[in-house]
Amino acid sequence: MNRTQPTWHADESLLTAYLDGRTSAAVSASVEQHLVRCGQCRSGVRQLSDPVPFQGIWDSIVTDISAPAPTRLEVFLRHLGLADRDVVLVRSTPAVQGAWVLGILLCLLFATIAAASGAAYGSLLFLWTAPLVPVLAVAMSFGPHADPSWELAVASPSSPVRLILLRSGAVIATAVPLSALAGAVLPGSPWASIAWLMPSLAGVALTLALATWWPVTHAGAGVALAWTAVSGATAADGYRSSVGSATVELLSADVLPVYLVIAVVAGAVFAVRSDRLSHFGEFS
Amino acid sequence: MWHADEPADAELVRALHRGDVDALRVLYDRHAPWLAARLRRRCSDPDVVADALQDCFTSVWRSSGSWRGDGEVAAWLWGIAIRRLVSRLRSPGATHRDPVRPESGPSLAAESAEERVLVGIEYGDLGGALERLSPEMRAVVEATVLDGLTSREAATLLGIPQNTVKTRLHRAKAQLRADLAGGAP
Amino acid sequence: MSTISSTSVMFTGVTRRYGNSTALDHVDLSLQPGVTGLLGPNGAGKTTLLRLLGTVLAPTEGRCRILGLDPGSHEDRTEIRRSLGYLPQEAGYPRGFTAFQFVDYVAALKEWTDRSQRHAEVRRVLALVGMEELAGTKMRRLSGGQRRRVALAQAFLGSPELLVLDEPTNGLDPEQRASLRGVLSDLARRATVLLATHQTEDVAALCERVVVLDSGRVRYDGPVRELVAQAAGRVWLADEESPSALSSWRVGTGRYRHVAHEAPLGAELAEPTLEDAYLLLRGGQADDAVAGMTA
Repeated sequence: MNRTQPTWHADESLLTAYLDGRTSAAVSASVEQHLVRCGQCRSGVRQLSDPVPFQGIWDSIVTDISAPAPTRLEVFLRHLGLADRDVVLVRSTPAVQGAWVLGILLCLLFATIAAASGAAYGSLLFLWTAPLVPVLAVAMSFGPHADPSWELAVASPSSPVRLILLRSGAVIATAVPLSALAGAVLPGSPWASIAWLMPSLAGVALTLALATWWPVTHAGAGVALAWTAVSGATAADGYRSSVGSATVELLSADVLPVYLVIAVVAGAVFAVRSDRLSHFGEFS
Repeated sequence: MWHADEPADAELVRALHRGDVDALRVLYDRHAPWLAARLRRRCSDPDVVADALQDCFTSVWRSSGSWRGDGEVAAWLWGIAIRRLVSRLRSPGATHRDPVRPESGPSLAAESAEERVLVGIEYGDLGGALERLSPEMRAVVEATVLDGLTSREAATLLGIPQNTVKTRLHRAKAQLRADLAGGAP
Repeated sequence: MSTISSTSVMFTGVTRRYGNSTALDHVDLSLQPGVTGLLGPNGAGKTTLLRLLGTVLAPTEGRCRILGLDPGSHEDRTEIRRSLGYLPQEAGYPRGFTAFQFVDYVAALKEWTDRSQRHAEVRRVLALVGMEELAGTKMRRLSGGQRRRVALAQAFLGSPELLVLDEPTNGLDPEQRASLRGVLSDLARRATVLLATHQTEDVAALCERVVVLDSGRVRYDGPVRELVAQAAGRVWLADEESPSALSSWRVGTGRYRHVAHEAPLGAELAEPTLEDAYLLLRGGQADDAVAGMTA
């Protein structure tokens, strides 16, 4: 940097007068313009200043910078009316921090493109993907496998069940709108683009219930496999009868209550057995 | 004395990107005293000045990227500090604020010859012309021209309406122009 | 604080099995305020014992009372956790968190609802471990020892009555270990601290009492100085190595230090340390000596 070197320096008496407010406006302005450019005179000011108050201010600065500025996510969650403590707990959700939102988006994007382009099994692809998104999101949001600090969470007085539901709620709240958006652009009945929420709900409840026996990551993977098998079998049936009917069959009015029953039963099982989640790595 | 400037301020600001608190500490030690002194001349409440200084370095820490990488770090810091002061004054908590009195108490009536020379070096004839402005107009010129504030920020700092800032600045410029052109004594 | 007695932890016949393997075998343990050291080789069951104390694991058999409460009941367990500071062996942190955010997160888990109070407490505990200046640094950028100190800081949140610490001094340099000892002995005036460690010098410096665990059983439980006294007359300094010694190693002076039941050739007796006593306890014939001690 080629800055202009100062041609003069403020002596101690001038700086003292300036610091005491005894200099005229023009002199003050000169000193100030000079200080901006001259490190030597700045350090002169430092030597004439009482260091005590500056240490106090520095302590406040350290305090400020160690408390991180709230992220956009946190600000948003607070706008939704979430208590500050819950915001901190949601922010710690492993899945919320990861790149998984991007992954989900891509996944849904491909499924949606396939479906919208009228490819033979495009809508089936979407149907297969969409309910899995919340299931996988929940499976990645707690437990010793997904959360490196889970043991600490378990050892805390916070209810692990509340923490799990809070985090699951958070990941579902981000996953569902994305899926819904993708569903909305699909051709066909608007019903089908909402109806997938039913198997999705059943899947999440089932994952949580199974997580009282096995690690939630395993539970989520199991549910995902089961769903793949069911939708695959239905698709094979649909192929034998008529192309494209698989969507209808998986989401037809007489199948939907089945999802509801699964969701209610699994929810009840989870409620009864949830105390097991307040221990670490115990799945019995 | 110059060895005290190592590492250079610019280096330190770059180190802030890496989350180097020590770098912030060095910047603080170097710059807080003169920034505080300059802020004190714009706001007589020492608590508000302390708050503004704290906000300034907190904001430097968070937005070290806003420094474009050229020019004086000191000037950049002052820009942040004065704006932090303005926003502290704007906040509802700051009820009691004194309009800035650039010269509280008797100013040095007889300015030393040496000081006249200094003023001449920094501002040429402008220094003298500035001196001849009324205190109100001078405050507006200092806030807008010297401190680089917008008229809205200057209004907050000085505790006067924005339109008043604009008129006073307009009149001050006219007077300065006349003064410099007329070659006043 | 329990008003009935000063005993904060009472374990009776506590057993913990994982499938067919037994990690803890009928352990009896009582803890009082003060620092108790827990020594033992890897796989001795230390971590299992600490997890039981930290209420994150339930025993297969036996009776546990912690702070006068039953960790088997949901309400009592929550109550215990309110007064517990726990440092697990692997204290992971949420990805991308700074030191401050991590401790702030645990503070939120520990029911600190008010934001400014919580932040003040987070700063207090970070200062206790000398990490306040690095509070804004991402956890993954910290060194192992620094990360361990942050993990330890969260255990100090709310000045708990019971502190269960697994290897708190791992990765710390000697200076940091010394300052940490100061913090712990300060806390131990009110609180019950159990300190599991590999560092016998930490135990020697901090604890009046030591528990030695081996293969899931308590091998020694008593005053540190009595354990050290057991080694009196069995620690030798010699110029040569000794094949008959339970343990020997070369010391700084170039001579060999032996822990042995009989004097190696040309050896002179040395003042025993806790480490010598621990080695002796773990050596072949130590079992009888321990049976005599604990009977």
